[in-house]
Amino acid sequence: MSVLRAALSVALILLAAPGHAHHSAAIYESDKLLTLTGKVREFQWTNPHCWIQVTVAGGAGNEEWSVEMGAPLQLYQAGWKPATLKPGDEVTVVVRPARDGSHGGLFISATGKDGATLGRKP
Amino acid sequence: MNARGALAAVFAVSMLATCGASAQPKQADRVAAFARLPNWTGFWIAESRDDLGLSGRPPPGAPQNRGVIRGDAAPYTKEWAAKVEQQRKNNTGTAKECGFPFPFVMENPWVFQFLLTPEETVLLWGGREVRHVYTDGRRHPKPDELWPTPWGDSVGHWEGQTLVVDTIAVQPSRFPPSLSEQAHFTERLRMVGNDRFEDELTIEDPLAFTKPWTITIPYERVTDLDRMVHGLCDENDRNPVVDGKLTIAPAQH
Repeated sequence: MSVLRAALSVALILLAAPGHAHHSAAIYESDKLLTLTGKVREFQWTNPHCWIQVTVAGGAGNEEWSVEMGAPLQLYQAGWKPATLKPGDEVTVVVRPARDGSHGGLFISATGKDGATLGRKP
Repeated sequence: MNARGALAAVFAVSMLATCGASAQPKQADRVAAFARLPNWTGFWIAESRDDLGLSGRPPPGAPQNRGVIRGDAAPYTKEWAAKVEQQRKNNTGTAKECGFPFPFVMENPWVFQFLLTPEETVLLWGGREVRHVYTDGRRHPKPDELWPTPWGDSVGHWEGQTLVVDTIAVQPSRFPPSLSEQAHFTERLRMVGNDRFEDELTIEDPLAFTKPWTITIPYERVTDLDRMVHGLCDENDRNPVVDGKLTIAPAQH
């Protein structure tokens, strides 16, 4: 390998912080938790991430929150299925809120209307 | 039938007998070879990645990047270490991945499984990464038939129940450890209990390292999965990079 080629190889090596499923979790608060209680508007069983859209009653009316989860593989492992949440379901979700103050969060745990934890493990 | 015809008939019969005799043992040999393979069925995950949970991320407070493959203890040369440090400082945290390359794939967050045949062992991850380890006695391709790829070229052989793998031609990537195209990898893959597995990985890199670096990556059996569920990169990517920052895109109802 020539010196130039070696230098190019080094330049191409960007030691990012690879979180799981395609990007890091740096956009979410690392040590703050927020509890959202509302109704499911949509449950997106998709790659690279699943999302729960939750409508929460706010001061100025209803707010829609986007809750990011892992990939379908991780959810399925934990006992979740595409029909675990349906539009209109009452749900309480604990999240790590987005650092930028937007209505987004990273999923920590969820309970249904009866207070039972959804899935086999949080 | 004249004498020539009789001779041809005898030859044909003898050829059939010979072919039949050689085909049968070959099949039997292959069946026997299958029987000698270890039982690595099931799903596995690196021990450092077993707590990701429903967020797909480590729990709050836990470090994002764990595991020995990160290369924190790698014997980098002074010059290479300086470059690695600078690249860490330049990291914006906005990079996305679409498939983990070797060797990082050996300690990545996806569940994986083995498919064993006498001719090759295949490693398959939930992220759809694939490694083919040929065990049919072949060598690496000739230099003019070989080019760097994210997973390199792997050939292996069995030492009892241990698969010894030799890998070259791995493309340098942004995933740790930081290596050059000249890196050479030797692995010893084996079960170390009913539900535990390990990969003893030695990396030699004349450009990046001062000496060979050997690590052992432990794995544990995944018991809560009944089939492989694969990931995709861009089916519903709602984290676009805007103005150099990862963001959350609203749902498209």
